[in-house]
Amino acid sequence: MKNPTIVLGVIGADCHSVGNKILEKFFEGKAFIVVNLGVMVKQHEFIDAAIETGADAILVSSLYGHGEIDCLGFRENCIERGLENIILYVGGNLVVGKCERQLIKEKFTQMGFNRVFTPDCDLEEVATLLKKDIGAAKAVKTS
Amino acid sequence: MKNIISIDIGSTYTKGALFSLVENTLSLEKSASVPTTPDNLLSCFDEVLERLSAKKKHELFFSSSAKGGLKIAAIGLVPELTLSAAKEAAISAGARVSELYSYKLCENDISALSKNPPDIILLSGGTDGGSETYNLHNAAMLAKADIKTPVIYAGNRCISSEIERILSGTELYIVENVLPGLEMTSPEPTREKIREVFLSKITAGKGLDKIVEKTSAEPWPTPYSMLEYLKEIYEFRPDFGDFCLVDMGGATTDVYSCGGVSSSSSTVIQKGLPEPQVKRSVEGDMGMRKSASAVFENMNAEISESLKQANLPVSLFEKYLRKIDGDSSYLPQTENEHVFEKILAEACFSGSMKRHAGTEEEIYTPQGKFMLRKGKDLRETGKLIGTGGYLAKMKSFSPLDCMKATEKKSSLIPLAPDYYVDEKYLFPLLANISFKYPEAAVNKGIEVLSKAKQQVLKCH
Repeated sequence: MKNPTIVLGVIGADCHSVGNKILEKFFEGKAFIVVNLGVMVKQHEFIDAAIETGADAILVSSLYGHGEIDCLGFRENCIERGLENIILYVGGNLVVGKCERQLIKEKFTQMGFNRVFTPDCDLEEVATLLKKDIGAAKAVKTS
Repeated sequence: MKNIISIDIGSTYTKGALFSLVENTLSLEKSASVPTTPDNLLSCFDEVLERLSAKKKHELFFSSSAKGGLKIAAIGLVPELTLSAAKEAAISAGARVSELYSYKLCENDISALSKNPPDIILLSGGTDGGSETYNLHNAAMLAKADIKTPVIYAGNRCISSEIERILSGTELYIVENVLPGLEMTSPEPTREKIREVFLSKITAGKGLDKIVEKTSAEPWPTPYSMLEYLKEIYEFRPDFGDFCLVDMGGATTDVYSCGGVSSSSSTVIQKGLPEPQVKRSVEGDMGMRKSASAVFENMNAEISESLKQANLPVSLFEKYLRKIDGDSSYLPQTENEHVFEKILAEACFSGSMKRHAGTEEEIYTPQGKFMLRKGKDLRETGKLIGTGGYLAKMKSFSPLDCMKATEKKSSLIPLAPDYYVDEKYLFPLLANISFKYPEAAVNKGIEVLSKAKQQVLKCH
């Protein structure tokens, strides 16, 4: 079976590029095919790239606190473009100010993201979860 | 000394010139131009040859854009990605893209293709290892339709053999993907195949086979030949620098740019597919005759403003449009008609240039101001060349004051280039010669350009 393909990028008007580069190298090291769109990526650009590359998952980063506004309607837009079952991950400094980690996770899960990560997450764990989620999605598709 | 004849069969006129070649230097001996005879291209070709006193021993080169040129329908997946890459590849091969289809082909698309078949269908979609389902669906739709048109497949290479199986009843050519990955385009293999198919299959349908039979010279699609020529000028004469060329005809306006490829920096974010160093764009709704009404529609605000400044009523301009629409060889007679012609040319020029160049937008972020850039940045381009009927004749035409940039999304057009005119309309002819004598053709091309009075862009 070929290695899973993931689309990576920093959403909205966010120009933080260092973390984005680290994620690219990290996931490549974990045998993912990484399509990195870099910084200042719009929702439709993530979706375009995922369609064209036949991606298994989209990983959205946000560091500047406006993640909630930028991610509104992401799942709905995926459904509209025929990516009903694509795996959506989001991570970073997702909201402004202090907010309970659990509340943030709930908020983004309700928006249709499969998993939500705060800055203290362990990347090794993310990679393991991602492989598991992609495997499960493929099993559903073929069954 | 060698005698060289180069002929270009255009949609309206067939032009030719006789050159002598001595020690790698070309000299123009004679030129000729006759109306193109679409029903029998050999007849206009022969007449030009005759006028250039073809009895003399000579070497012959020719190109053609007659009978609608080379018509390609491009099929891709996402409009901004593979479809855009396929369109660019077709245009750089000298084609006119007659239809664009994204995502899945439907029954209506297939019946439109069968009713009005293009010369070639270019099927792309998916990066290598990427999407498969759309291409398989589209190939099956084409197979079902029983279309006689040759198909070039330039999509996801992982399913090439399946595509081959589905389209086994079709004349199919498989080449490298036009977009192997999102970070790189690969137009060359597609371009080369388009040219091959043009030569082996399409020349006969366009009536060029009789010329090939008689002269044993092979035709080039005019814009293909032009693009290769400009690449050579850019490569062999670095002293000439970055430049743009605008070829304004009756039906279309072609823009070529050499240079202006920009990349992301600490304050500029570059978006979209990577741009080629030498790029062609063609605007099917920008032209001085057949497309004149479309120009008025597209550039209504600019044209109305120019008419107001010239104190001329719109109704009179519309009347003129109807006149030239019915008679494509009409030349302006009165003073007003000359002004109309100038206003129309300015609109074509600035409209086509703005579509060709990239754009830049200011974005304010919590990290400060950034520029979001798309396409080519031609602001520093030093030279602008005008060619084609109107631009070749009107040396006094100054395109620079019509190219005002809009405020919000700034157009990255040349800011203060020197304007040059190809007065004798020799560029398409030299382009044909450059395949065999690149150095001589490049030097002659730069020599024949005459510099118009320099203008500084008024407003930006």
